[in-house]
Amino acid sequence: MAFNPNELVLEKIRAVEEYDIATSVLLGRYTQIESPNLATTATGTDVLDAMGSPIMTFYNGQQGTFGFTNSLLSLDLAASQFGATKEVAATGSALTMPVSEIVTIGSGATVVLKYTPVGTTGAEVKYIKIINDDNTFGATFEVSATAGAGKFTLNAGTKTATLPTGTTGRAFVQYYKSTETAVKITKSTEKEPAVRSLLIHAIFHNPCNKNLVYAGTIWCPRAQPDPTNVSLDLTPEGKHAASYLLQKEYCGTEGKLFEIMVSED
Amino acid sequence: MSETLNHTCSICGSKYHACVGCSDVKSFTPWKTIVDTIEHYKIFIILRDYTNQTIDVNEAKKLLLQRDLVGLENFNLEIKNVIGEILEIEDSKEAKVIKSKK
Repeated sequence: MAFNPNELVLEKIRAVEEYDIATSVLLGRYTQIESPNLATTATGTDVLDAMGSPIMTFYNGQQGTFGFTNSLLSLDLAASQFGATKEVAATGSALTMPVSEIVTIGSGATVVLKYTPVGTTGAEVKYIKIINDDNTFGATFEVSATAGAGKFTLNAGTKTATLPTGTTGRAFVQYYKSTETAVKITKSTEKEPAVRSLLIHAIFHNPCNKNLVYAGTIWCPRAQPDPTNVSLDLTPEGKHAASYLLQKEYCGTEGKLFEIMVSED
Repeated sequence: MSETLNHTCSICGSKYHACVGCSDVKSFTPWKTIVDTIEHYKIFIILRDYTNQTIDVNEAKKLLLQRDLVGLENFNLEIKNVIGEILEIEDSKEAKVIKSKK
């Protein structure tokens, strides 16, 4: 008997994969899918009779949307939504990352930083601000080539700043470090999300027998992350929502927005 | 429109304008975050290296004498003092060496 299912139980969307439309290279894979939603829209144009009653409607402007919420913050998804490329630091290709530290001033009025500061030679750290015991700001010291009132000297190599003699307490220091173990994504107003292909994997069950599991896919040949409302909830319980606009392939002959397939095996 | 004098040169103490977020400063004149001229930046680096003991007093003097020290009398007091210290100490050392050779 031919496998010809109608009603199925959809257990879950197992994964959403993004592919480059020209090379089919996998660019992103999201596996913590909540609230997936596939929708289509069209613009209807009514044909009216002499009394103004619609006698038929033509539909054009058909397109679709696919949205979901990833349970975890996904940097790959964010990069896709921002039209950015995720930069991955490696040996020989370090990234520069900002650091803010509050350091207890040591003996000799020295401040030893956690990382080697980088930047303009001589001004790797421009200012050091004292934090008073009551957490208010105290004096601000500025980098100098020599010791002086209101100044500090910096030895970037030893990660040590030296404040005027007698300075004690805690110091706030902001600087940049070089790291070979970091990633970076940049949201730029100059860029918009690239069009991808989406492959959505689903798990179905036979409604009469839960033990019969079917694999399903939804293939969207043209899907562009919708940048009009990207919101990252920056909390531990925050989710990462994404929405894609599904459009037909201009060069395609079928005007395909997406296709749903279910396989018995 | 006049620009805000929002920085103070770490060498001479002069007020000057610099926008550290602007591309010309970021790309071409990053030294403007601490000093007003490239010559003062070179002096800054020499003095910083001397302070951090990565060069000795002889090397510091040699390098300083290659720089334009115009306006030294108006430099920040601590800068002027250290430059004077470098130049004077080295002179006396040279004098001692000459005496000992005799």
